[in-house]
Order: sequence, then C-alpha cells, then structure tokens
Amino acid sequence: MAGKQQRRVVVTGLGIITAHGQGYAENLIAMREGRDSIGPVTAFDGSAYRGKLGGEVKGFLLDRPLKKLRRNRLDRSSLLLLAAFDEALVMAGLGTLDESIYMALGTTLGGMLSGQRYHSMGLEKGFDRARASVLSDYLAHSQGANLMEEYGLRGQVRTFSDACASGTNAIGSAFEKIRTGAFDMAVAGGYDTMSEFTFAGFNSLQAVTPTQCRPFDKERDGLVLGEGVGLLILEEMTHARRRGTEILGEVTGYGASSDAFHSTRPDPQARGAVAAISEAIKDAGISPGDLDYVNAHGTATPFNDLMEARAIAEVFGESTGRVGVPVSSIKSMIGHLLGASGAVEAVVTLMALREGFIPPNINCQEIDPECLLNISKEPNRIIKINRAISNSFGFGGANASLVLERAGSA
Amino acid sequence: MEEVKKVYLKGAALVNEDNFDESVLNKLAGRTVFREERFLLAAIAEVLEISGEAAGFEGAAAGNNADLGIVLGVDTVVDGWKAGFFGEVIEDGPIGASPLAFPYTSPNALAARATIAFKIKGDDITISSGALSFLKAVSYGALLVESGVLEGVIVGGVAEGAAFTTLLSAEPGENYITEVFERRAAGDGLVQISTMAESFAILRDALDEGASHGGSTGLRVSDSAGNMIGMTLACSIGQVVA
Repeated sequence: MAGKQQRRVVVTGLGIITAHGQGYAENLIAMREGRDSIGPVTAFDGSAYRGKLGGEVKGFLLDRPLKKLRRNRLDRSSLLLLAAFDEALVMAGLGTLDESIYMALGTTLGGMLSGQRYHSMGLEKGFDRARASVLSDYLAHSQGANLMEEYGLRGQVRTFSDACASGTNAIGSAFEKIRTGAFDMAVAGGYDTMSEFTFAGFNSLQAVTPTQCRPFDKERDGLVLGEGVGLLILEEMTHARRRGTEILGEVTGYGASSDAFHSTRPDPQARGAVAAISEAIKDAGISPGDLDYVNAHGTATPFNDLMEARAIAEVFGESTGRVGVPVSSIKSMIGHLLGASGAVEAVVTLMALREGFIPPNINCQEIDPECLLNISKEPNRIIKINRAISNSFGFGGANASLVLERAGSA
Repeated sequence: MEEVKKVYLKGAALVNEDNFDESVLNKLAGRTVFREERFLLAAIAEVLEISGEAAGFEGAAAGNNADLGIVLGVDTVVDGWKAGFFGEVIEDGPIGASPLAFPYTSPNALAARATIAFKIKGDDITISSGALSFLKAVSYGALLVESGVLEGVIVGGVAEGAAFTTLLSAEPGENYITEVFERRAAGDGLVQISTMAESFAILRDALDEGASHGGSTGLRVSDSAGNMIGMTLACSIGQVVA
C-alpha cells in the first residue's frame, strides 16, 4: 500500500468463545480433532422452522464480579465479550491496558436479545408498559462502550456492522491504525449471539440447512447459525518486544471490496471476492503461492461456496496453475457466527499457524466438482504452516480478507 | 517511505423530506424500498455532482468506480424495519418472516444499496456508533484516503428522516482535513450532540462559513492556502445520547 509507514503488527492476546467451548485450550482441541458442535437450537423453540440447528455456546461463564457494570443490565453479547477480553488480556500478559488504545468490534446484531425481549414485552403488554431499561444494552456500540467502562480503557472505539465481514473489517481497521502509527495497541474482533430474529430471517431466505452444515460438499444445502466471540490484542512489534510478551502471530495484509451486485446474493463471477483476496495478498507483499492455508468463508450455501471456489481458483490458479493450497471452513463445526465469524476465524487461523495444524472441513462427503479446491477434510492434520488467508464475504457484497503469519516466520 | 496523503473534502449534501428530488433516482438501476434509502442515493448523487465528479456518477453504469469506497454511519435507522420484521415473526411464527424485508434489517443494507446503484467497488464499511457514527465514518474514510487505499470515499450518515454525505478525495480541492481526532474524555468548549445530523450540520456550516466549535471528537479543516477555516466537531462518547 502506498503512502503507509510500514510498522509491523503482531498478535499478543487471543480470546475465543464458540459452540466448541470457552477459551483457547478448549477450542484448540475441538478445532484440531474436527468436533461437530452443532445441534438442535435450544435458546428458543426452533421446532417450527425448516432449519432447526444452531452452534450455540453452552455453559459459558463470566465467573468474576463486575467492577463497574451491573450484570443484570447487560445483554448476553456484552457478557461474552467481557469473558473473551479477560482471556485475551491474560494471554497478552496484561493486567489491564493503561495506554490509549484503538478498539474495533464487529457485530451485526449488537444487543439484539435485549431488543427482542423489549419487543416481545411491548407486543404482550403494550409498548407504554414495556421496560425501557431492557434496551440499555441494545445498541450495537453499547457492548464496546461497556468493555471500555468496565476496564477503564481510554482511546477510540468503533463498531463495524458489515454483516458477515464485520469482524474481519474490524481487525483490518485495527491493523491499519497500528501500521500507520496512530496507535501502538488495539483490541479487535467480533461477536454475535443466537437470536430468533436472525434464525427466522435466514430461514425465510431458505439459506439454512435442514440437514447438516457441509461446506463445499456436492449436496450442501445451507448454513447453520452460530454464536460466539473472537478477540485479538494487536501491538506494534517493537512495543510487544519491549514488554517481553510472547508474539502469537502477525497480521501482514488486509483487503476489502464491494461486489456492487446484489443485496443478498454474491456476484457469481466473484469479482469482488477476487479483489479483496488479491488486495490482501498484495498488501502482505507476498504472492498467492506463498500461502499455506486458506480459511474459507465457506457458509455451505450453494451460491457462496461456488463463488468463493471460483475466487480462490482465479487468485491461486494465476500463480501456480493449480489450486493445491489446503482450504477449509470451520463453519462446518461451529456454524456461521455472522459479525463474529471473521474474528473467530482469524483467531482459529492464528491458532492453526501457532500450533501447526489445519482445521478440518467436516461433513464434506463428496467435494462439489464445480469447486476446484483442495478441501482439507481430515481431522488431526498436523502440519507446519507459515502463512494463511482468512476470507469473509457478507450480505450486500461486503468482502474482506486478512493475511496472517506464524510468529517468527518472516 | 512515502508521505501520508492529504485528504480533501469535496462538498457536502443533505437530503431530507424538504429537498428530496425523486427524479435523480431515475438514473439509477434497481428499485428502492424505504425513504432513507432514497435520501441516501440522492445525497450521493448530489455530492458527486457538487464535487465535479459527475463523470463518475455517469460512469457508474460502466462500473468505473473501483477506486471509490463508501463508509456510512448509521444509528437506529433500520430499527423500525427490524421491529416490523420481528413483530410479524412473533405474531405469525416462521411464516411471518418476510424474505424481502429481512435483508433490510442488516445495518449495512443501505451502504450495500449505494454500492449497487453507483457501482462503488472499493471498501464498503458501515459504522454503528450511535450519534457519533457520522464522525467515525469521516475518520475512517480519511484513513483510507491518507493511507492510499482508495482515491476517494463517500462518507456519510443516515438517520431517521435524513441522509448526508461528503466526498473525501486524494484529488486536490478547496478544503482539506488537517486533523481527525477522537478522545474519550470531554474537553472545554464541548458541543454535545445527540444526533448524527447535528454533527453533519456543524461540518457543513464550517465548509460554508468557517464556523468554529471546540470539543473532543471531530476534525479540523483548512482551505487550500493552508489557513484553518476553523472547525472542529465535538462530542464525547460518554455524553452522547444515541
């Protein structure tokens, strides 16, 4: 990228909560062994819907008293975020963050569960009798503000709502902020919760599978919604080294684009996706052949997977003449986390780089012959990888990709 | 290491019920669904024209806007739509969920619509930060231009009953952003805002008249001769009523 100060941006803290469980360790085991953590949705009665499955977070704990916030005023989204931030701070060897930071969070729903509760109350009792206090954590920027408040953080907070590309754009913006010298530290990621609102919406679009989430399979028939949070603590490299903390990985490239095509369908020619992937690779100063793994958006809808396969084939085919790079979608294990998906997938990609494995694309029996990709299906595939790309393609044609590298690989 | 690019502000447009000219939509492809969407498209068309980028506007059909991005601030503008959609689900169950309405419940639906209408193919970003959303959109759009990611960015806000846009560009113009700043703590001379439209009004007044305000979040703008035309936008995260 022209005109930019080339400061290196490393990852020093990670926080993750998914249907696999709470925390890095639980998710590592499940991601590596290819556990299917999707089941019938329990947060509400899903029995009347075509698709009844969800990747829900079960038994999640925020097992500490809050210092400044009132727990009963918080939406589930804030509680998830606080718990993930606790983990990221510990991993980064930080008690708290005393310096001014940039915080970028991606979400499509914000505190939607609170909004649903208020709305149901209003329809039941009349809106003049619905408790407005229920809405105190509804707005999409409230959860970030809560995090700042609870920890007494200073700096900028920004909430990205770019559908399924939200988390990736949030991380990309933090990467830019550190690289250009505006900040030395950032907290970036995404979160979303399981709500009947989106469940009904995606069912109405017939985008939800009635059977099983199987990205890139010939018989794939839709996505499964999930919930969770992924958070990264990013630092300028010398700043992290001065602190003596472990460097977990590095963000080296970011690309974003728009399809300018349709409000829900991806461009079948994949021009926007190709642009985002190519820009991220160029931004990282590498060529496609330097990448060892592609963490695909891979929703398991017929349209998305075909479009993404075309994009990957076009980008990788140009340099290598074949698409040999392993590709997988972790949505097969935990579902589609909407605004959190890009962030959780970035965390898992960094996990794969650090621990040396490729997360399996489970449930894929027969690869769609139109998807000319090297889909990595095997669990426990232990292999050293140095560089990977994580893709996110959202509603409305919002595309974003991140290039991530193993610590010490450059 | 190349120099950070200067970010020029090329005009500003506000469209609401009072000045909305529906005829501008005739030039654009696709149907519109709700009022603020129409206001937004009209505001983008106007700011492109004001900025002397009419060629870009006309060239939209040819898909020539690869170096143009959009960063849009939204507050609760899609919430009425959300409430309508979810109300039907509560009343009628799954059968009440409208596949036509659902896409419009996503906060980025408006930016997406703009990208389709104007073939904007650069970064497509929606910021949901309550009343501060417009300022944060300007701040992020400026980063995209100054770091060389894009040649131009439509930045704007859509609130209940109004849409407002400006074009940030690397192409030299009359006014440029001297500084974008954002601090959590309130400063002296704070102008508290409760809507995005208020922050836009301060920006537009400054561009028109060189008005000046003090505060803790916003931007300073200079004219082409380097003279401060005296503006900052102001508010504090802690004090915003979203």
